[in-house]
Amino acid sequence: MTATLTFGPTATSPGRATLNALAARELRRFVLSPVFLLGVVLAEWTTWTGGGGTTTEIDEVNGYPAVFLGGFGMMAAYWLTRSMRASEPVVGVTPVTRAARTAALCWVAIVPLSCGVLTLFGMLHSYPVGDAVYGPFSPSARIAVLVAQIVLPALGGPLLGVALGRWVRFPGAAFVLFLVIFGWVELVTILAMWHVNSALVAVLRLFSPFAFFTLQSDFGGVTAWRGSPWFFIGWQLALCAIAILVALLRGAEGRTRSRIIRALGVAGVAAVILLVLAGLGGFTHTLTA
Amino acid sequence: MLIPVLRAGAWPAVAGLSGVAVVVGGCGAAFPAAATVLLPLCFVLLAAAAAFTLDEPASLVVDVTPTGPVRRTGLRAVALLAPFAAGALVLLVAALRGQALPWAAVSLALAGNILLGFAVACVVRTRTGEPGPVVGTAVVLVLMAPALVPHIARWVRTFPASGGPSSDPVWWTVLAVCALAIAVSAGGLRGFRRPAWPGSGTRRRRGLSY
Amino acid sequence: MATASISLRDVGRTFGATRALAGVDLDLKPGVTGLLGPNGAGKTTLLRLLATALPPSQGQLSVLGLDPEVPAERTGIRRQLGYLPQEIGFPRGFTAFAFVDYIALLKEWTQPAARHAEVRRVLDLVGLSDLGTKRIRAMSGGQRRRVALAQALLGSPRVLILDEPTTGVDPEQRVTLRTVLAEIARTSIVVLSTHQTEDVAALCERVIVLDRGRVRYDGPVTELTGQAAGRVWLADEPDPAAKVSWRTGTGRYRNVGGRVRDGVEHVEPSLEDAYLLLRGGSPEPETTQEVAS
Repeated sequence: MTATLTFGPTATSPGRATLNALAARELRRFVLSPVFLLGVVLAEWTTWTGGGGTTTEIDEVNGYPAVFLGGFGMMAAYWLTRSMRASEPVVGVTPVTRAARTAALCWVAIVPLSCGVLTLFGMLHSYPVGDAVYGPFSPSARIAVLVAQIVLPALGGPLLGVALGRWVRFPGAAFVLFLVIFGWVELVTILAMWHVNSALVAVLRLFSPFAFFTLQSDFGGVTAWRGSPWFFIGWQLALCAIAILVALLRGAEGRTRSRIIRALGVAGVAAVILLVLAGLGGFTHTLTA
Repeated sequence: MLIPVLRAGAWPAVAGLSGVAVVVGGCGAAFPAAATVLLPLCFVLLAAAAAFTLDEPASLVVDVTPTGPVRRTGLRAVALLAPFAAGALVLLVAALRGQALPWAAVSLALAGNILLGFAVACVVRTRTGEPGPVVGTAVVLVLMAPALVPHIARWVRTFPASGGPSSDPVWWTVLAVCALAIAVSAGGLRGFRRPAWPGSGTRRRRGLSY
Repeated sequence: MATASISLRDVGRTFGATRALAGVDLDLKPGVTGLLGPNGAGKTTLLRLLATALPPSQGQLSVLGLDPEVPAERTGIRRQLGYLPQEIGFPRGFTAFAFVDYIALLKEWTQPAARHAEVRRVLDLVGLSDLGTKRIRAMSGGQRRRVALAQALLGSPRVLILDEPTTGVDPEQRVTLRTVLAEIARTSIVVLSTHQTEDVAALCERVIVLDRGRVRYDGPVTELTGQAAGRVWLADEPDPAAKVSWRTGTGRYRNVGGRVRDGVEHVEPSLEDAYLLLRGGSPEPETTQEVAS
């Protein structure tokens, strides 16, 4: 007896409905992640209690949302991405491509981004734009500083976690990267304190997903460092784009792979340009108000 | 027996984390102003490295061999030499760079970090064959709490620095608790405790003595 | 050396509120005993109890006359035990030889020459003598299964517990395995759990059927198979009166159990038929060997 072979429908890209359903599923899982929930609680608690002391400059409190929403969000997204690795032999032969699944994973960043925006409004409520804690920055620049220090790390952290989860097998990679980034920010900030007007050190200080823009002056008042918060936002957005593209690159083939690599090249060049502009733009030397 | 038992563990994770710790700690040693920030991060990474020393992928089979858990844990403890050596190297570089650190307190903090990671892994190892990832993450979050949450930093200091509370009481307490935890977990593995039988009023064990 | 034996008296095991095993009474002697049952019946739990990987929640368990709840005696059991779990992980970067050698070391084979010879012997038994230096990561699933089996055979254990030993193993190797196990079972207790009823039929003198944590049947394979005599027939269509019916490779339908009509084409029952009949219930009075659940 001969067997008759029948083939299913020709391969097509997954429909919008499938992607939406996948994204919704990943969002649900992300929201219920204990690490992310802990991060949200700590972010809001430390932000609203202002570190438990009197805030004299905005960078005393701005770091907490970045650490808890961005850093913890990165770890949660990493674990979420890795959680399906064992099922890859089965999941990998479904009609939905890995790139589509990665795109669905990237959507989880919406949640910490929303938390970041809410935290931004909370920060503005606690420290209105005219408050002295922002130092000599203009009102629009103050908003830019808040966006760069609260909203964009909250967006970029999970995206970085997805990219890391797609490429790195070591289960501790997320907390290692968290510690390395934390240490790097501290190191370049301290370097900037020693070389306050150096353009090179300013670029180095901004070569990070997060950067400080103010410090408490020894003589009273708040000192603003070199650098343009607007271009820094651009640099952060470029980093987010790079993270998404790196995540999508995993498993991509043929023309898709070529396109992603080309886009990575463009994003990389844009990132470098924006970083340099961030370092050279804004205040050209420290300014105290 | 030592080499095969060590080889069977997650030595790439232990060595890799220790290596990253050396880099981070080395930066702290090279830039004295950053030492009080980067050296604690180095120690946290070493604690995470210690958490991976007990990972046993073939635990289902290994756990029913005649070589008991106490002996196996003791052999795996030799792998702690890697994070200890990494920490010692960092401190040596810091000393050679002329950093004025309270060396006794810093060494205590180093030992405390590593033993904390190992002790928690011992406890979790009674439940799972590969405690490294979970314990590493948990240890990092706990040890970073004073650095991340200012309310905690006011009361708990995990790295000696001028001003504020001393870190010594924290680490002596941690060491004592770790020793107890390791002893209890080893006893737990040796024991063969029966879970409760649902619906039974008492946990009477018929005909068997302990 | 005294005859090996395993004894279970009213043994039960819980996981939280779930009773995985309850009221199990068994006596196991040298020979091969097959363990059958649906998914979730408690087969793996029973094997883990026998392998001293878990304590029972209730009842008494004695392996080779030793009590596994006494640490020193448990070690004594483990010196004479080989265990192949359903799923096993392998350390990173190990070759087949290195992994089996590692387990041999933990089984107190301290002399390198003797240990290496034993490792080569068991790898040869499972047909991996040419692949000893190959990394396990680079092996097929069946080859990895054979590596796992090899470590269980170290030292010709007096108690050999095998959880689905033939999963992923090719037919030739299964035949070889049957030969190996038959030889070991002359003096050792071999308990194997499998979904392959033909392995049980070919290899086991005795079969235990578990269902929802309890023993449904414990007795000779031939007697269980005999319970299906006269109750298995072929037809061109599935018989609605049968308990179980399925299409065979010849295009005809094999029917088992239920009301057997006159004139049907009876066929010799297999162990699988008897097992399905047992699982699906029987209108006939229960035999003395079938333990009510």
